[in-house]
Amino acid sequence: MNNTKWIILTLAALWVALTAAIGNPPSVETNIAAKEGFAAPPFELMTLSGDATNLKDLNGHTVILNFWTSWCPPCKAEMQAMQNIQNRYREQGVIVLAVNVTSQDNLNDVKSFITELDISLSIPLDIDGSIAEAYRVQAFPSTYFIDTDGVIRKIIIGGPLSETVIASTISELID
Amino acid sequence: MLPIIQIGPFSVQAAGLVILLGLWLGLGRVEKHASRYAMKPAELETMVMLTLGIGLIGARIGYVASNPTMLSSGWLAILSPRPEMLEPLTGILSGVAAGVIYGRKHQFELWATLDSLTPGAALFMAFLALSHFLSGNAYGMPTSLPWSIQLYGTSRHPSQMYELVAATGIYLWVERQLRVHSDRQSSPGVLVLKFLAGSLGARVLLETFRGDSTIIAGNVRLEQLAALGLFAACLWLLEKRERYSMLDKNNRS
Repeated sequence: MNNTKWIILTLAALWVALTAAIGNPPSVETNIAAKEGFAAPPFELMTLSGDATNLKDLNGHTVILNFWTSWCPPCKAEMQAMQNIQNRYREQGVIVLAVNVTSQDNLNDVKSFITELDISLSIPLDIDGSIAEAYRVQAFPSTYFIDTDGVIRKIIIGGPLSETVIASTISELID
Repeated sequence: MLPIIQIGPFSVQAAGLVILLGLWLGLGRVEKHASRYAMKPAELETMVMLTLGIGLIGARIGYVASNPTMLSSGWLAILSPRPEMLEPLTGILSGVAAGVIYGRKHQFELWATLDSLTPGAALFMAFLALSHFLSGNAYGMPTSLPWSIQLYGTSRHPSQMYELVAATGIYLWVERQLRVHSDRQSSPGVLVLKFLAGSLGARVLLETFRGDSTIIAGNVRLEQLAALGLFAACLWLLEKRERYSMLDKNNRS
């Protein structure tokens, strides 16, 4: 190679070395954001059964956070898969939170939906839509996979998700 | 950031829309400059669309192959338009293979083909940078510099803007080269290699400001190291092509 190219290449290599030597490496993000690699926005919601669910209490568990509404056909199609995943991975500390965005739904329809599908998942109710806003939910369903440290590892917008896709994502987090 | 554009009842991902726009406009640039390399625009476009189409199919097949239980979910699940159900490696290999086979069948000359695709690729890279800005991907390291932006809870380098400025500059340089140097056929391969070297060099420089780099031993950023290696390879190939072109010119004269 001619001298100019050697000089350019050497400068580039020096830049890489300098970056490694004195640059600040990106650390694990402790900032809260609805984005992969960031701490999941905290929330506390009442569930359909009247209990309180606080995301902070679930640290140490792998959490699947699924935002849904009763009028959304893909939500209905994947809810059974979510239930199956909860049954299958409960012993391994996986918790599925199927958050109903009640601000865009009707509570009676939600109850009918759960009864019709015979779902026993925890159903937190986002009455004012503030949690859906915090998670920047723009389409239903939206699913967030949160690891045991409370960090969002994967976001899947839309559906329906098959049990296979959910299981393969979960297995990476559990491992 | 504007992740979603609401058009009536439809939610459209802005970043995806920008990528499609970049692809469409990029193909337009390829079509405009194809004749300079004695290539038929329609054939070039067909090759690009074939590469992308076969690439997507290959990526889906790769994903299904690594998750064989999907086969029991039925065809609707396998055909589901879910971008996360794509295996990148099989996608790239199958796409490139399809492009190469098509190119050989139509007797495309390798370097001329790559040069003819360069203006489109350069424009597409600028739109890719814009899509990163809209989606919030490729975000920057925290900083307190006056031009930092607020993103994900803190002030950060506007790394997507750095990327956009670099990609736009490279694209404008490519277009200028095509205007200034009319005799491209005598130095095939130089344009694409200079474009690649410029893009990779920019990546080496800008990766320092990224907040999502993969760190390996000794605080080295994996993507930066990979870009440096490819940058070196590009410079070496460029040297060889420039010498070949000079010899070829001398032989002709």
